[in-house]
Amino acid sequence: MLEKIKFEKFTAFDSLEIPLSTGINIFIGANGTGKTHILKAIYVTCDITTSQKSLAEKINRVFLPSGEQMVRLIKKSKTPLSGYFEVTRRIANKSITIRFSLKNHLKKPTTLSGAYKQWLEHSLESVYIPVKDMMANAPGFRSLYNLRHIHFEEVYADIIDRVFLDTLRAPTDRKRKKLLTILQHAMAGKIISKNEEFFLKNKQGELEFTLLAEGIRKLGLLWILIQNGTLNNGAILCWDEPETNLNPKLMSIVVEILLELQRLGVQIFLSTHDYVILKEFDLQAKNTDILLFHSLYRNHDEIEVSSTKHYLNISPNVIDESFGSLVDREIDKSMGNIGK
Amino acid sequence: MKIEADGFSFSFTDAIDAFIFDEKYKNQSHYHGLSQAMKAVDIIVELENDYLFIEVNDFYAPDDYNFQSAVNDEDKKEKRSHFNHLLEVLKYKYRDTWLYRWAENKTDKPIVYLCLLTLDNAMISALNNELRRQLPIGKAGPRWNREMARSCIVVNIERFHRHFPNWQVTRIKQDA
Repeated sequence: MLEKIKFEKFTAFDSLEIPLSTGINIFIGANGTGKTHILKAIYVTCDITTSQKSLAEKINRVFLPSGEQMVRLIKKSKTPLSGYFEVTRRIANKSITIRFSLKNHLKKPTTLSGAYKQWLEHSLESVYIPVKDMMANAPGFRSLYNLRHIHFEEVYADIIDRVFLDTLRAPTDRKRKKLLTILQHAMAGKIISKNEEFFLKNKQGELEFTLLAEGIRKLGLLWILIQNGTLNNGAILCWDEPETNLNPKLMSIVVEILLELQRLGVQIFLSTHDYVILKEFDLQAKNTDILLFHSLYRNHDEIEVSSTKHYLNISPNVIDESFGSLVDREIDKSMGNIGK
Repeated sequence: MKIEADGFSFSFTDAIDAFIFDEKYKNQSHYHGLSQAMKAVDIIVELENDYLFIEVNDFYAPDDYNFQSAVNDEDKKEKRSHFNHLLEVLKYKYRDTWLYRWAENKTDKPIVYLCLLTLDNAMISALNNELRRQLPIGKAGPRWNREMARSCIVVNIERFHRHFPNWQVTRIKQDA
C-alpha cells in the first residue's frame, strides 16, 4: 500500500506532500492543479514493479515531455535547476521510499535514490484508466504502439495490455462474482474478446464495442479487470475522471463497485470534476470504508492540498463552488442591488 | 431591525419594517389569524422600494431532497418526491402570503421571495430554476398586466452572507 507522495519542483508543483489513504483517494481541483500528474506519478512507480522497466523510461513514456527531454518535467521557473518526486509505500510493516530526481545541468539528468531494489522486489499490480476509452480501439493498437514510436501516452497502451491479461487461474471468489453480476446486470451482458476485438454478449447476440455507448464500455472495462484478476487484493487502481461519458445512473454503479473493491483491499486513486461522484461516495460509503478527499488549489500561484476524510469538510470544494458561482450569478440577476 | 425565525436571527439595517408574518399570538400587532386556512412565509420585510417575503428552513437531513445524487431508481423517486414536496410548500407559502397581503392592500411595491435553506449549492441551483418557473415570477401569464412576484431566489447561509452585506443572519445557539 502506498502511504505518501511528495513533489518538489516537479511538473506543476513547487512543493507538495500528500498523505495517502489505504482505501479510496479522491482528488478534486480546478484544471491545471495537477490531479492527473499525481495519478501518473503514482502509477509509474507501481507499474515498474511488474513491468521491470526503468522508472525514467516509464516516466518519459507516460508523461511524454516534448522531444523526450525529461528536464522539461522540472517545474518551470526562472532558474529551473532540479526537481523530484518521491513515493513511500509500506512493505511488511516497514515504510520504504524511492525518489526520482531530475537535474538540468547534468549529462545524465535523472537519478533514482532510496530503497529502489527493495521496491522492485515486491510487485504491485496496478491499472491506470485514462480519460479516453481504448477498448474500442484495441485491435491493432498494441502492435502499432510496440512497432512504431507513436506519440501516445503509454497509459493508453498499458490499459489495453491489462485487459488482455489471461483470466485468473483460481476460480472467481464469491465477492468478485457479486461485483461481476452487478456489472453484468447494468450492461445487460458479458464481455468477450475475439482477435483483440471486444463484444458485449447477451441473449440477443454479440455487439461490438464500437457500437456501444462509452459509459457501457467503461463498465465493460471494469468487468474485465475484475474478471481477469487485475483488480485484486493489494492492487492499485488509478482512474482519471471516471465520470467522463458516464450518466449519473451508471455512476452510482461505478461508485458501488469502487467501494467494494476498496473493501477487497484495492487501493484506489481517482480524479474528478463531478458533483455526482462526490455525493455518491458521501452517500454510499459506510463508516468502515476508508476514504480521503484531497482538494488541490492554488495559493499565490503555488499548488497546495487539503485532505479530509469527510465530504462536508472538503475545502476548498471547487465542484460545489462551480454551482455556487452559478447561484451567485442568479442572485445578482434576480436581486440587483437589494440588500447591498 | 432584528427578528428571529426557525433558529436564525436576522438583522435588516435598511428595513422600514420587519415582522414574523405567521404570528400566532393574538396580542401581537402582526397576528396572522388565518393559519388554519392559509400557508405563510416566515418573515416579511418592508424596504424602501420592495417587500421581501422570507422563508427559512434548517434541514436535519438535506440529502433527503438531493435527487441528483440518488443511488438507484427507487431512491431517486423518493428523493424527487421530497424535492417536489419542498417546491410545493415553498410555492404555496408564497402564493397564500401574497393573497393575504393583497387582501391587506399591501401589494403596493414589487415583491421579492427569498428562501434561506440549509442546502448545498448544487441543490440550491436546481431549486432556483424550478421555483422560479412554478411560482411564477414576472408577468408570466400571456394576459397578465401585473406580476405576482418580481423575483425569487433560493440561498444558503454562505450565499446570504456574500450577497446581502446590509443584512445579517446568525444561527441561534440551542441550549444543550
